[in-house]
Parts: sequence; C-alpha cells; structure tokens
Amino acid sequence: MLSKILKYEMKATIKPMAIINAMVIFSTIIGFFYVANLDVEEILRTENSTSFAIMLMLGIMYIVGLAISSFVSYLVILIRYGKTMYGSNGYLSWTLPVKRGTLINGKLINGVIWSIVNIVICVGSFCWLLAFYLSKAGVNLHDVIHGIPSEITGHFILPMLMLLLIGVIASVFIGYFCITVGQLMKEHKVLGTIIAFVGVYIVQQVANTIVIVGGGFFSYMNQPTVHATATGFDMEYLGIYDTMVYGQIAVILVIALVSLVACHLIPRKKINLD
Amino acid sequence: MPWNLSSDRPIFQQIIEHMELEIVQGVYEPGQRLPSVRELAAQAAVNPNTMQRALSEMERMGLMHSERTSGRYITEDESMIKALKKELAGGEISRFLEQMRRLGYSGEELLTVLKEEMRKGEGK
Amino acid sequence: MMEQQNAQMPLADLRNVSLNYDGRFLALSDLTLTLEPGRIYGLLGPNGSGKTTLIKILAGLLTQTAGTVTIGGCPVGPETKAHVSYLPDRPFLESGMTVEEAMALYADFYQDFDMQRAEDMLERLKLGKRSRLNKLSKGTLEKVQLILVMSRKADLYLLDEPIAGVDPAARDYILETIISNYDPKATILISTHLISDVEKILDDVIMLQYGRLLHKASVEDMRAERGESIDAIFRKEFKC
Repeated sequence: MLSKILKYEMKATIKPMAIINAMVIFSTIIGFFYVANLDVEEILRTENSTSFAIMLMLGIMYIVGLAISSFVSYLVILIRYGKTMYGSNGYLSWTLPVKRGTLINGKLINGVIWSIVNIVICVGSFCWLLAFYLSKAGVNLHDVIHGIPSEITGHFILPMLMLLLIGVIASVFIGYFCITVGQLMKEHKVLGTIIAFVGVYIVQQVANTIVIVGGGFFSYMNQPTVHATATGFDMEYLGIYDTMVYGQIAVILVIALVSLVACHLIPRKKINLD
Repeated sequence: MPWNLSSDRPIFQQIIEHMELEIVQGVYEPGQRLPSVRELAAQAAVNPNTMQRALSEMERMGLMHSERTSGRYITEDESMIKALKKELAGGEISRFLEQMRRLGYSGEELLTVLKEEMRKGEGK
Repeated sequence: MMEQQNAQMPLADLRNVSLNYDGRFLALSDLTLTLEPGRIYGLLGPNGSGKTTLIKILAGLLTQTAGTVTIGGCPVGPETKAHVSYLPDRPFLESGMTVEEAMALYADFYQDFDMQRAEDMLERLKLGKRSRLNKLSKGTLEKVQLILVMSRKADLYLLDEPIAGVDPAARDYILETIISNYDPKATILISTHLISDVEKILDDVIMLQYGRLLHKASVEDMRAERGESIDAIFRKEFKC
C-alpha cells in the first residue's frame, strides 16, 4: 500500500516539480552561455566597470533564483499535504483502505524525494557554473581543491553538507508537523501553521544557542590552549567548530524526530477537515 | 401510468393498488413479463424491499407468478383480471355512492342525474 | 473477516458509543444500534443531533471516545474501509483530476470497484471522461462523486446529505441511482434533512437528537401506525 500511495503522490507532484527544476537547469544553461561569452579575467581586473556590476547582479539574481526554486518546491509539497490531509480532500485520504501511518509516511517520503532532487539540482548547478566561472577567471580548480587541508574538508565542508542535506530532509518533517499542528486551529489553519513554524524556529534557535555556547564552552574547557598560527588553523581550534556544527545537526534531528512522531499521533486525536 | 404515491400511507399497499390498475387497464397484458424488482422500484422511486413485498403479495393473490429463472409474469387468467376489474369498479362505485349520498342524491334521482351526465360526456 | 458475515449477523454494530468533542461537547451519547444487511436506513435529526458524527465514525474519520463500533465484525480500520463506501456532503476529490483519473484511483485502491458500472452510469450522464473535475458544474460533480461511490460493491454505503443543494431532476437521478444499485447483501445509510424526498426509498429510519437515539423503526410500520408521512412525524417531533 505504501508504494501505491507513493506512486500517487509522485504523480500528483511531478508536474510542478519538473517545471521548477527545469527552470533551474534552464537558467544555469543560460548562465553558462553568459559566462562563456564573458571575459571574466578582464572584468575582475577592472572592478569598477559596469560589466562587473552587471555580472555581480546576475550572479546574485541566479543565487536568489535558486533559493526561490527551493522555497517554491517546499511550498508545493506543504500545500499538497495541507490540502489532501486537512482540507476537503481529507475526506478521501483518511477513508482510503490504508493505515493512517502509511498515508503519512507516503507523503513524507514523497516530500523528501522532491526536496532532495531540488537541492541536488540547485547545488549541483551552482557548483558546476561556479567551477566554470572560476576556471574562466584563471583559477586552477585542480590545485585549489587538492590544496584544501583535510581538516577543513572534515570539519567544515563535510559537516556543512551534512547539515544542508539533513536540514532539507528535516524541513519536510517540520513542515508537515506545522501543518498538522496548524489544523488544530479549526478556523485559522494557515495562521496556525505559521504560528507553528515560528514556534519551531524559536525552539530551534534557542536549542542551537545552548548547543553552540555550551558545546563551545565544553570544547574550550577541554582544550585550554587555543592559538591561531600564522600559517593556518590550529587543529584544536577546529574542535570547537565541530561541536557547534554537529550540535546543530543534532538539534535538527531531534526536532525532526519530534515532528515525525507528532505527525502520526495528532491525527489520532483530531482531524479538522474543512 | 405515473406513480403517484403519497407518503402518509404504507407504500406497499399503494404499489399494489397502482399495479392492479395497470393490469386492469391492460398496461400489463396477461402473461407479460415484468421488469425486475429493482427496475420497478427505480421506476416507482421506492425502496426495493417494499416493492418486493408488494410483488410477493400480488403473487400470493394470484395476480402474478414467478418462474425461478426467467422472472415474474402477469397471470394469464383473464377471468381473474375481469374479476379484479369488477372489484376495483365496485370500490370506486361505493365511494361514488357515498359521495352522492352526502350530496343528497339517492335512488331514482341519482340514476337520472347519472344518465344525464353520461349523455353529456358522450356528446363531447 | 468481512466474508464470515451470515444473514443473522448485523452489518454494523454500535454499542454504547459516545464521542466527546474536545472534552467539552458530547456529539454522541451512549448510542447503541445495529444496521442489517439489505436495508436502506434514513438517518434523520436536526442539526447538531450527531448524524454527521455517526457517519464519520463509521467511515473511519473520527474515533469514538467510548463504546465499540464494528463493521462486519471488525473494528473500524483499513479492513473495514475497504468495504465501506463513503459519500461526504461536499467535493472531496482533487479538483485538478479528470473523471478518468478519479475512476482509476478508485479502481486502484478499492478491490470492489466496478469500472464497467461506473462507465455505464457516466455514459448516461453524457460526461466526457477527460473532463476536469474543477470544470464541472456543482450538480454534475455531485453526480460523478455519487457514481464513484455507488460503483463500488461495498458492504456499507454511507451517504451524507446526497440530495441537499441539488435540483429536483438531479435529486430523482440520485435516488434512482441508489435504488438501481441496491444489493440485498449491502446496507445503505442515508443522512438527510430532506425527509419527504427520500422517505419512499427507505426501509427504516434512525432518528437522533442531542447525540442520542430517539427512534429506530420501519418506515412502513410508522406510516401504518400513525397514518402520516415520516416527514410529518419528524416535524411534530422536532417542533421548535
């Protein structure tokens, strides 16, 4: 039954998702042709020219566009969940001959899949275009990449990627949770959802602060000598950063887990359909 | 014949009355096969169980009979249908006579008025 | 489980069912009744009497706070949902779908869906299968939803206000559809406040008031006893 639900979910969301992601790829390709025709090194040398300003603006627009695509993709998933579970379509969804848990999980998986697809396409397109741009700017990518110390990769890049991926997946759980909580406010479901989001945000920020300060303090206590050398980072210094990033990941995981449980439990008590 | 069923009397009885009339009028001919219970119920816009009950009762009365596989048929007994016609007429006539009695007509006076109206009716 | 049913066993069995809304309001109060196969029940009562709550419990949308509900001997859940066909009183299909897609969804999720029956009924409506649901008129959409629900060979049909807000011709169509799809092994529960239109197709009425069972009786018996229509009886009973 789960595969059946998932199939229907994907069929219903593939059109908007395909359009959004196609637009990302399309703008990346346009960006590619723009950069290909650009004398990047020249522009970078004369920083005050109009071409530089234009290039900068287009770059910013592109990144903002990527962010917008992720946001719209997220909205599409959330709106679908809200409508099919707690709108008029809920009369159909909740009376299908499937377990409630299966229904919820199917939609969660669908949301996660499309979120990952979008983030992979966005990050991938960005990196590809950036690499192309840098190579045109005369940067030897091969040297740069291999020149990154493994400590930075391990303590900075990898955790950040993990945070991004987990954050994207967790955002689906959290989004559905906010909708589930929001529908408890019978007449003002959208308002309730927004309030729930604000609530989660506040909780997350408070938890992150505690984790960062506490974790940083804890690391500091265990590594009394912290010094930045002239040539680079002190490995011990990075230990603090580790705790901070992994701490945030842990916070998100806990919030995501609580969201998942609540998404399943709340409908047992109350389903407010329109 | 359009079904005119009123909700304040048992429908079951009204169905029988309606179908008796249709049989007598020849809407259903002797030996004719009836539509299925569901079709009849849908035509009359009534509950199928009620229709079934009415049809079973008419079978009991001998107006219909059912063959196990092929369905229900109106009786071929023309004398029974004639008797039914007479019975229905008798019912209408008693009602008529009662009405006339209330208006003050009876006996010879009644027959005269009746003949007059009948002549008028034929002239139209 | 649903197949173990025999002629004596009721199709739906509610015992001391109560539903306490938010811990404040008792939508249903100690309700005990059974629904037998092969009968068409009318669920009547003023607004707030618990009609919709009862139907939602049988459909599996709400859970009672006390008492037991079994359908075909099973508690309400995915197994019963596979044999219960529910028609809500509002549009419940995804509006972007086409008629064809809606039929495919029903066929996919419900083993008891009779595609041929649905197609025959839709053809009578002269409705293109590729029409999008959000392009249909209100009356046509209601008919389509009814067709989908009645095309399932379910054990229990729950129709919540199927003829409210619908023109008289459509009303006749809907009642005729219900009668034509009658199955002596199935039960139909119609919740309505338009009693006079519906009472001729009912076997029994269940009257609720303030979440309690007021009457449950055969319609023909009531007519014979009181010499009045159910509509007239209802008006007297619930006079303001």
